[in-house]
Amino acid sequence: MTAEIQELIQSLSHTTACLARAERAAPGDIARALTERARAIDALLLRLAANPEDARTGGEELAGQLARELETGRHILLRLTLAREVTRSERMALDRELQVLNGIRGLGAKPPVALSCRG
Amino acid sequence: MGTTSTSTLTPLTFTGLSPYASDFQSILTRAVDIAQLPITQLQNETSDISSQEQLATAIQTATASLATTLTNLNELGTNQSLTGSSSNPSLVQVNNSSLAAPASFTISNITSLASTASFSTTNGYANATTAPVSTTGTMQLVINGTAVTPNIDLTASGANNLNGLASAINALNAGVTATVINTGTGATPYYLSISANTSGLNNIQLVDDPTGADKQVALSGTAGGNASFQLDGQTVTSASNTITTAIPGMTFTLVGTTTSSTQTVTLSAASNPAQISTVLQTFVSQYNSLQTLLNAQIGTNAGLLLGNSMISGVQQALHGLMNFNGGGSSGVQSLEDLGIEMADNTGVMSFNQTTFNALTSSQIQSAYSFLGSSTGFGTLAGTLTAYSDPVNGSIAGQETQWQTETTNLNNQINTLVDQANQMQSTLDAKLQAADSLIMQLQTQQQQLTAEVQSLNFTSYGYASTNTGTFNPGTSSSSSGS
Repeated sequence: MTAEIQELIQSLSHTTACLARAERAAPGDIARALTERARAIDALLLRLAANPEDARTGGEELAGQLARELETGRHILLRLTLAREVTRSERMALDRELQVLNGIRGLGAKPPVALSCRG
Repeated sequence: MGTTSTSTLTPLTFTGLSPYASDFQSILTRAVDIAQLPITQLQNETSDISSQEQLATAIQTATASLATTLTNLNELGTNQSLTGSSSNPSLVQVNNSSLAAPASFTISNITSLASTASFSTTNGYANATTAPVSTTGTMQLVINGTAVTPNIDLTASGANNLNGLASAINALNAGVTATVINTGTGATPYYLSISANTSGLNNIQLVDDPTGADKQVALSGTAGGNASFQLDGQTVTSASNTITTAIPGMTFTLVGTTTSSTQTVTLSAASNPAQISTVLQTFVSQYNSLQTLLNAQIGTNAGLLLGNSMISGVQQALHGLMNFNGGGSSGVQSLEDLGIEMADNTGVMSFNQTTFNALTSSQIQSAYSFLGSSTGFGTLAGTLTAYSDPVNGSIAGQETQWQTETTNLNNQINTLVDQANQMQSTLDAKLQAADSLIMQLQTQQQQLTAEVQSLNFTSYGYASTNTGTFNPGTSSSSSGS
């Protein structure tokens, strides 16, 4: 595996680690980490596309390292999906609450009492 | 992946792929339940108040009905259940009687009934809009020989015609109504009709140019007349056929004339105990209805008004009715003496018609006193209206309190709705952001997966599928949200 490829793999590992740390932060931080990782992946894939011999010489080791990045990414994806499920459930609970609130709003409303004939 | 839809509410289920999915589901369910606690409490409170108001309104209505019946009994006792009647309703009808004692009156010599004056112009007019009705534009209305002021002014442009004259006469508010009539025959089919608004003597005249030529407009028709009759031999005249003042406490209406001087009609006010019997039956029925409503709020299966002071108060008022004693030593002294019986165990009242019918004349007189004296049974209506009065009654006061509570609850609900709407917007934005991030990460995973497969193919001659690509299925999971 060439030094350039090793450098690109390290860059990918670094951005994946950053993404893992950022996943519990604000969506903006996750988005930035995702952008960095996308750049690292693009750079690696461009290099491999431009230099096919790099894949042939260190292919097994490279595939192993990419598989580890892939696995880490899969865990992050799972956690992001779980977080999204929590948000979705909160949204559904809100819908239900709103429906109940609108249903009971004005339930006790009653027209004014009649005037007394006795004045 | 689009924005999640919020229009449908499906049961909250998590279809996660991990082994922790079921735990996650239970946490979500609990979180939703906890979040709903204040709303459920509000819902219960609002529902309870609404139900309490409905129950109280039913009790208020039943109590008011019973109070009205007690008032009726009081009036019947006071006027000794006197009923007015006529021996010949085809000549004289009794409208109402509030005489305090039995009495009888003789009507004779009904020689005339009151009638209403009605005239119309003898001469017709070609039309109602342009044909002049006055030589000078000034006319005068005369009723019973007295000129009505001011004079009728038709000098304005377009006013000197039948329509203008009718409008001007009506504007005088002189007790007559003018109308233009169209017979539809001949060259002059339009006439002016003038009718008195009330019966009695009303002669109507119309004068043209009263300050000059002073010429009467020819009118034809009939003058009104008074009713004339004799009451116990005394001649009475009345502008109306409904006689309200001749017999204080009795109003009657003349509907025909007598055919001879010997024909008479007797008006009488006589005691009618059957009226009391009828109202007592109503009383019993209303008492039982109210008691049923109250019993539903007492005991082990009591309703939402359990312990409410209005229930015990009305219940106490009913006991007061049931146990009322006239205080005398003889005659009718209790409801039981009138035939009202109370079942021992059920508290249900009943009316024994046989017992009532067996009352002697003196007992009936005693019953009038029992029901109608200033301290009689009928006066207990006041103890019920203290609860049922729609403005000042204690039930109305309770309802006002509930209204206040309802208003406060609605304010809390409005606040919660506002908060929930804001949270909804926030969560929608959060979901959109999450969808975007997940999609980006999925794309990256797919790129890496493809590259690993490519490298494996290069190294081993096959594309390993052992890349473990995770597909969270966000598209399907968002469908219910």
